[in-house]
Amino acid sequence: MQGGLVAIVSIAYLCTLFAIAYFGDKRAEQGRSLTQNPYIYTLSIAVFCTSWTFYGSVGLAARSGLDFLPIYLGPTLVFVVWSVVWVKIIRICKLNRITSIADFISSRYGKSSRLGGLVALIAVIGTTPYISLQLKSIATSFEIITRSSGESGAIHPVLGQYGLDSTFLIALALAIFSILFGTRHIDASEHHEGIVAAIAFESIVKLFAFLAVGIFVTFGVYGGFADLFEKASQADLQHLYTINPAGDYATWVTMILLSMVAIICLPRQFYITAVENTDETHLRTAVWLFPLYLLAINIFVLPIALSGRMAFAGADADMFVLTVPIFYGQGALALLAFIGGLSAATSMVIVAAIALSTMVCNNIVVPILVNLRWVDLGKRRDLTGLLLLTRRASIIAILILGYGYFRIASGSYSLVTIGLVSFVAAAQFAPAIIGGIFWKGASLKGAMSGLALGFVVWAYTLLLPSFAQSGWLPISFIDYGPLGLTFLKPYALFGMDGFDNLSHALFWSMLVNIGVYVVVSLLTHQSTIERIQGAIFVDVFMYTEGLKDSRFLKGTASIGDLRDLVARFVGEARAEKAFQVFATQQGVLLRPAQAADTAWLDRAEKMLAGAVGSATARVMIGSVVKGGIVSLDEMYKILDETSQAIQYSRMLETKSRELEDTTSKLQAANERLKELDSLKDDFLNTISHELRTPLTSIRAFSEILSETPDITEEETSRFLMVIRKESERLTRLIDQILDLAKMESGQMDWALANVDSRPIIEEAVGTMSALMHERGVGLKVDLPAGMPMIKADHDQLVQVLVNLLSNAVKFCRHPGGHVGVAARVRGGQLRISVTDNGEGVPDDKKSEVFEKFHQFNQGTDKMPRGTGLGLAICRQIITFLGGEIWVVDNPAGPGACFSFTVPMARVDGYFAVDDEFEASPNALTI
Amino acid sequence: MKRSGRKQEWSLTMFAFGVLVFFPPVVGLFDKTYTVLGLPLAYLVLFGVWGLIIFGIWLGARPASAQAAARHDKQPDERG
Repeated sequence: MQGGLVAIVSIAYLCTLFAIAYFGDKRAEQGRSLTQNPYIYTLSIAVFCTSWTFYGSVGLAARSGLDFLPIYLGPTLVFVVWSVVWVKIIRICKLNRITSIADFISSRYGKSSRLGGLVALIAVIGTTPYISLQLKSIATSFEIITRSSGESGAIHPVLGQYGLDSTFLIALALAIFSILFGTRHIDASEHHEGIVAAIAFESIVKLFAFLAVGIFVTFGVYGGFADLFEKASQADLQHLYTINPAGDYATWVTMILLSMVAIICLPRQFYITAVENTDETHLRTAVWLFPLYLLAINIFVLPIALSGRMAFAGADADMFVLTVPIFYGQGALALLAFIGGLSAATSMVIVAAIALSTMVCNNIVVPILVNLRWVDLGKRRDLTGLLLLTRRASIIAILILGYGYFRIASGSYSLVTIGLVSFVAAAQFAPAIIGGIFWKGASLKGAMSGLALGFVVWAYTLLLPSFAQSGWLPISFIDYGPLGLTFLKPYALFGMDGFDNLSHALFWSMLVNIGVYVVVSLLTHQSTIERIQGAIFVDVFMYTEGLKDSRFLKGTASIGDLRDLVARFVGEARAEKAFQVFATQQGVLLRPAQAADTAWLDRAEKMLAGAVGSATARVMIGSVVKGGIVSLDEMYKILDETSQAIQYSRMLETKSRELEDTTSKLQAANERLKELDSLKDDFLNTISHELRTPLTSIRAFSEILSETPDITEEETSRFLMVIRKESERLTRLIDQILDLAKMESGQMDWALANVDSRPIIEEAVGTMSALMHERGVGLKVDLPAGMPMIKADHDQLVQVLVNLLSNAVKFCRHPGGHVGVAARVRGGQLRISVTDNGEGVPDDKKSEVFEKFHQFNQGTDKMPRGTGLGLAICRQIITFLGGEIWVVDNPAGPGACFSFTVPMARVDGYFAVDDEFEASPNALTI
Repeated sequence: MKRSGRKQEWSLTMFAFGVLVFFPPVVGLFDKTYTVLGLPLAYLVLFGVWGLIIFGIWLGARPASAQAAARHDKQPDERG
C-alpha cells in the first residue's frame, strides 16, 4: 500500500477527530451537549481498550491461547460491584471537585500536596511505558501497512525522506490535539466535552474496525466459528484453546487482579470514569454496556489469532489484525484495521496526556510555585495564562517522555509486556484509593510510605530490567543481580523464582505497599484534617444523602476578594459568571463588599480546587482570608481545646462545689471557734473575778489584822473566821474549776458502776443535814420503798445532790425555809428532785442557771453565794451519766424545783426495780 | 441517585459468582483442549459466563422505576 495514501487517510482521520472535538465543544457552549448521555459516557470509558487490546491481545492469543482474557474479565468484575466502588468514587469526586487521581489521593489524606506530587510523579513514570506502547504500535503498524505494497520490504516512513520520524510526528499531532481540546480553559472540573466526544468516536471506530476484521476472517476466510476451530485443530493449535491446561493459574489470577485495580487506578480510567462523569445515573448504563463492549471486542481475538497462526509461521503475532487482511489481499480492510489501531492508540494517548498534565500542573508545578517566594503567586494579576502554559508544556513533555521510552526500551518487548509494566505501576495506587474510601484510619504517612516503597519495588523489579534488556543498563543486572548480589536479582528477588516477572513484581510491590500502608497507618496518628477528610471520603453517602453540612471554613474575606482570587486562576469572565450563578442559587444579590460567609468560601475553594487542586486551593483561600481564616486544623484544635475547657470547667464546678461545702463548714467551724474564744474570754474574765473576790477579802482582812494594833480579840477572831471561810471558798472554787475542766476535756476518771441509789441520797442528805440544821432549814426526804439500782459514779452523784441541796439551802435562809428531796422511778429512769421554798428562779434564767459562773444574786447583800460552777458541774455529771437536769418552779408554792434523771442499772435485760416497787412513801423529816 | 441495599447484595452475589467461575479451581474444570458444538470449551464457558454476568449487572442496574414497572407487569423478575 502506498505510504502516501496511508498518510493521507491518517491525517484525514485526525482531522475528523479535531472536527468532532471542535463540534462537541461548540455544542456544549451552546448548552446542547452531545456528551450528556450514558452511551457517549460508556464509549469514552472504552478508552481502556488501547492498541494493546487492538493488536496485543491477538498477539498474546496467538502465543498462549486465552491468556489475554483476564485484562477484560477483571474490569467486568469491578463493574459488577459498581454500586459499592464507582458510585462512591464518583460521589466523592463531585463533592470535593476532584480533578485527577493525584488530587483524589492527596485530598483523602489531609489535602497533602507532597502526597499529591508523589502520586503525580508515579503516574507520569508509570504511564510513560504505556504511552510509548501506543507510539510503538502506531509506528509498527505504519511500517507494516506501507511495506505491504511489496516494495522489497523497505521501510518507508512517509516523511522519512525528509529526515522526520513518522512516530514523532504522530506524537506531535496528538500533543497539539490534547492542547487544543484538553487545555482550552482552566477549570478542570468543567468537563471536556469535545475530548469526550472524540474519544467516544474513536471507541466506535476501533470496535467497528476490529469486528470487521474478525467477521472477515471468521466468515470470509473460513465458514464460521466451527469451521475455523476445526481447521485450527487440524493445524494442531488446540493448545491455544485453553488458558493453561497444565493447571498453573498464577499468571491468570495475577492478571485478573491486576486489571481489576487497573480499571480504577489507571490515571486515564480514573479521569474519564470519575472526573468526566456528568451525571451519576449514566453509570446505570455504563456498568453493563462497558463490559459488553469489552466482550464484543474480544470475541474475535482468538479467531484472528488462529487464522494468523495458520496463515504465517513465525510472523510478528502482535500485528495479525493488520497482516491477516493483507495476507488475504484485503487492502481496504487492512487500512480500516490500521485506522482502528490508530484510534485505539490515539484515544489513550490523548486522555492520558490530559489527565497527567492536570496532575503535573496541579500537584507538582503549582505547589512548587506557591512555595517559591520569588514567584509570589499571590501578587500576580492573572494566573490563568500561567496555568494553561504549565499544562500545555506538561502535555508536550509527557509525550516526549513517552517517545523517549519508545526509542530506548520498547524494541525488545511485546505490547502486552509494556502495558503490564504500566498496570503494575498503577496498581500501586490501589491500597491508598481502596483503603482510603473504606478505612477511616488510613493515615497520610501510611499512604505516603506505602506508595513510595511500592513504587521503588516496581521500578526495581520491572522498570530497571526493561532498561537492562534494552541495553541501557548492563544485562548482568538481570542475570546476576546488582554487583553480583544474586539474591537481589530483579526477576527473582530473595531467590523467589518460578513466577513470571509480572506476578513476581506484583507480589513484592503489593506486599511492601499494603504492608507498609497498613502498619504505618496503625502506628501513626492522623492529623485533624486527615480525620475529617477520611470521614468525608468514607461516609460520603452520609454527607450527600444525609445532607450533612460540609462547610468548615469561616473567615473575614469579602466576596469581592474571593472573586478576584478565583478570577486569577479561571479567568475574569468565568469567575464573575460563576459568582453570579451562586448568588442566584443562594437567593441573594452579589455584593462584593459583603463579608464572605462559609458558603462563599466553600464555593470559592471548590472552584479553585478545580483549577489548581484541592491542596493548593486551601492555601490560596487561606492567603486571602485576612487573619480570620479558621482552617480545619485550627478549627479542630479549637474544638479540642473547647471540649477540654468544658471538661476542665466541669471539674472546676465540682471542685468549687466541694470548696463551697468546705468553706461553709469552715465558716461554721470558725463561728464556733469564735464563740468558743469569746466563751473562753468570758470564762477567764469570770474566773479571775471569782478568784479575786475571795482573795480580796482575805488580803483585806489580813491587812487589817496585821496593820491595826489595837484590834479587839473578838474582831480578830471574826476576821480570821472570814479569812478561813474565804480560803475554803477559794479552795472549793479551784477544785470545782479543775473538776469542770477535767470533765469538759474528757479527762475525768469516772467510776461507773451499778450502785444502790438510796445510800447515795442518804449520804448526800446526811452531809448537808448539819448545815441545814444550823441554818434552820427544814428537810423532807421522800423516797419510795424499793429504790432501784442505778448505773452511776457514786461520788459524783453525791456531789450533784450536795450541790443541789447546798443551793437550796442558800436560797432558803428566811425563817420557815424548807427543802425537800424526792425520788421516783419512771420509764427505766430514776428521777430525783430537790425542792425549796426560797426565792425561786425567774423563767428567763431557768436555762441559764446551768451555765458556768452564772449567778443571779437576788440577795440583799449582793454578795455571791456560791462559786457559780455548782450547777454547771451538775449538768456535766448528769449528762455524762446519760440523764437530764432541769429546773421548774416549785409546784407547791414559791421556790424552785431542780430535778434530774439517772438511768437505772440493767441486769440481764431487766431493770433491777420495777415501777411496781414505787410504793408507800417513806417520809423522813429532819 | 439512591442506592438500595438489595442492589448491593445482588452486586456482591454476581461478583462472587464471577470470582467463583474465573478463578481456580473451577476455571480448571473447563480449561480443556476439546471442542463442544464446534467451539473450544473454555472459550464457550468464559464468554458464556461473561455474558451472563453482564446480563446480571443489567438486571441490577436498571432504575428502580423500571424494575417496579416490570414487577407490576408480572414479568419474571429475578431480583427486586
